[in-house]
Amino acid sequence: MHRFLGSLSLRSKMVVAIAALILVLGLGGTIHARLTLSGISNDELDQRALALARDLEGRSGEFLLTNDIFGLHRRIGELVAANSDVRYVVVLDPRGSVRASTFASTLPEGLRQANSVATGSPYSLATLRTDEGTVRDVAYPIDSGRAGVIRIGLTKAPVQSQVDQLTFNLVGLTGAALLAGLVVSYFLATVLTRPLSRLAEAARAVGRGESPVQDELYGHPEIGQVALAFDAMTRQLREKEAERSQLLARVLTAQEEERKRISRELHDEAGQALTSLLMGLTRIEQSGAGAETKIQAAELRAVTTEALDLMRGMARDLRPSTLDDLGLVAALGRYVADYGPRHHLETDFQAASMDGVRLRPGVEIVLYRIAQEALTNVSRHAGAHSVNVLLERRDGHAILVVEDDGGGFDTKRVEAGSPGAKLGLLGMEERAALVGGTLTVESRPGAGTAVFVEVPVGMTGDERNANSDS
Amino acid sequence: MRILIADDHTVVRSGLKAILQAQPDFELVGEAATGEEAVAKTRELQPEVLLLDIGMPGINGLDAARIIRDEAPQVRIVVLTMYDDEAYLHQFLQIGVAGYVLKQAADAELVAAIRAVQRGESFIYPSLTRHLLNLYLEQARQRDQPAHEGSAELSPRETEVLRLVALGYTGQQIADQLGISQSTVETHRAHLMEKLRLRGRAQLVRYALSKGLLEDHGQ
Repeated sequence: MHRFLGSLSLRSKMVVAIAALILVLGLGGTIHARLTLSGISNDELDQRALALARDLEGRSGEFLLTNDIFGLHRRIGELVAANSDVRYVVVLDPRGSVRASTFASTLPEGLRQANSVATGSPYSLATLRTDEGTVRDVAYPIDSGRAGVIRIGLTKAPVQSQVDQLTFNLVGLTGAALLAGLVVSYFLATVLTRPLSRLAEAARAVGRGESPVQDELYGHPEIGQVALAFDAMTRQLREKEAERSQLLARVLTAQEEERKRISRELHDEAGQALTSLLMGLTRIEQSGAGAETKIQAAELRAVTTEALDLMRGMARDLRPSTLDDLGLVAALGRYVADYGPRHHLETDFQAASMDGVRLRPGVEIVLYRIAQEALTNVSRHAGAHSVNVLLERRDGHAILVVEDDGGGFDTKRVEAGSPGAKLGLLGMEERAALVGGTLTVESRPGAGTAVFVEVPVGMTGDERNANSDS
Repeated sequence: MRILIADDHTVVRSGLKAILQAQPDFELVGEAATGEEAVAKTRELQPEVLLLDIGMPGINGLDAARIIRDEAPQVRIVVLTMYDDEAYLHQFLQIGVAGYVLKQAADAELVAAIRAVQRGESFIYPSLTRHLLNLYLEQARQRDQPAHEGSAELSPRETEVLRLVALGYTGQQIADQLGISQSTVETHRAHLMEKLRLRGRAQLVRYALSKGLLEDHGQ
């Protein structure tokens, strides 16, 4: 029951409560009225029966004494005529024989025994169930029983029908009240819960990342408080989110700066030193030094060349100088070309509408890193044979597509599924968002995976240079 | 033979000097440590050959080479660098340098390069010529491609799908634009790839480019 109530909406609860209240009040009142009325009516009936009996006794004594049966009959006739609810009148002598009666022939069976006056009692009342309905029977002794007993039967039918009519009216009234109550409570509940519904809608809007429209809620006395609190919460969430993405932008920018610096230093400082070393060793080899020295110099030169290659690879991995000097197309083309043989994958890179185009440094590095991440995912998870990388400009946007022919996956499942895969996607999404871009992943099991990044580039001088690093 | 060295590293310059001075007919006329200095000294000393580094403070080797090409086209520029990226090579070849040598091999090869450019020839470091060859082959392939693939008949719908896929739209975006389901888009794409005998999105884009389907979009 509790659970059932809990599952109902506030509006339904209010409607049900009001309906139940009206029903209880209406039916209770009806039953009470019915009982009261029938009690009063029964008392009244008894009083009338007694009054009639007393009246008849007052007159009948004389008829009986004079043995004027005709007069008695006439008197009874008048009584019946004057009182429509009198079913019967019977006058019995002290021995129990009928002296006068409204019945045509004999008394109905059992009537004589149905009621009698105990000695000493002024009268006796009894309720009889007959074929013609309930009858209130009064036995009234004539001249304290010495002259006989009067029996008068009053039908309860008119009283009963009156009570029934009242009951019917009350039930009808209750029904009408219930209907009116339902309508009123429904509207009332709607009016009361509408601000709540709107608040809920606002909450959903915030969840979707939209800004809720809720000004009209503030006027509402109670809901207004909730709306204000909710609004404050929304604002705080927004501020936190803004702070978070600013922080993320700063962290990523700092990381890129650091990588760039280390890469440059590796390449320029350490690289040039090793290069000089190479030249020196070459000179020794070509000089007039001894054969042994020359052999040693050659060996050292081989080691130095290896170290130089290793270091240049590291520098490139950290941050390719081509990205800064020549742009995204050159850097990404080189990365894809190196990536293929390293991971035994066929690669194909194509740029379109990118000739001589330099994007903002922030956008270039973001797209480069997302491509790196996407390609790393391909080599790790996709089970692909080939991967295509595409870079183009379309209607003021830079588009990056990384598409493989691997196993693919159910995108819905990753949304809710493995945190690792989700984090990888999230990281790429975050990077894209830093430059105002969006990331879409399309994949189906067995049909490969395509990662799309769309970043607005428009013209130069964009404000959202969050990840700028130049 | 008058030679100017432009490199921001003193050790490298002294190494180079030693190599060049071993050649009796080479005359080292000056040294520059920045891009600006390289431009100024070239202007002032009018060398026959300029040995130019890429990574230098101030304007880098690329910019310096552009300026010198415009100001003194008779100066033969030999790029001497640690970068073996073909992208740099392409850039410098477009500017019109005469030689491209990697520092790692700056001994006999450097001398050979200087002698070659002196004769009016070009000298590209051997391991980089492979890139050039690939580039040439790729261009040749692209020139030939339309001839044997162009005849394939695409339905208007397939052509539209081809254009949108080549423009980098997602499957969902294409489905929305054409008012069809995503799986129908995929079916069209599979059909047209088969008809044109294309493998992968990059080939598809190249085909679309060659047919001029992507025009008016790059801006």
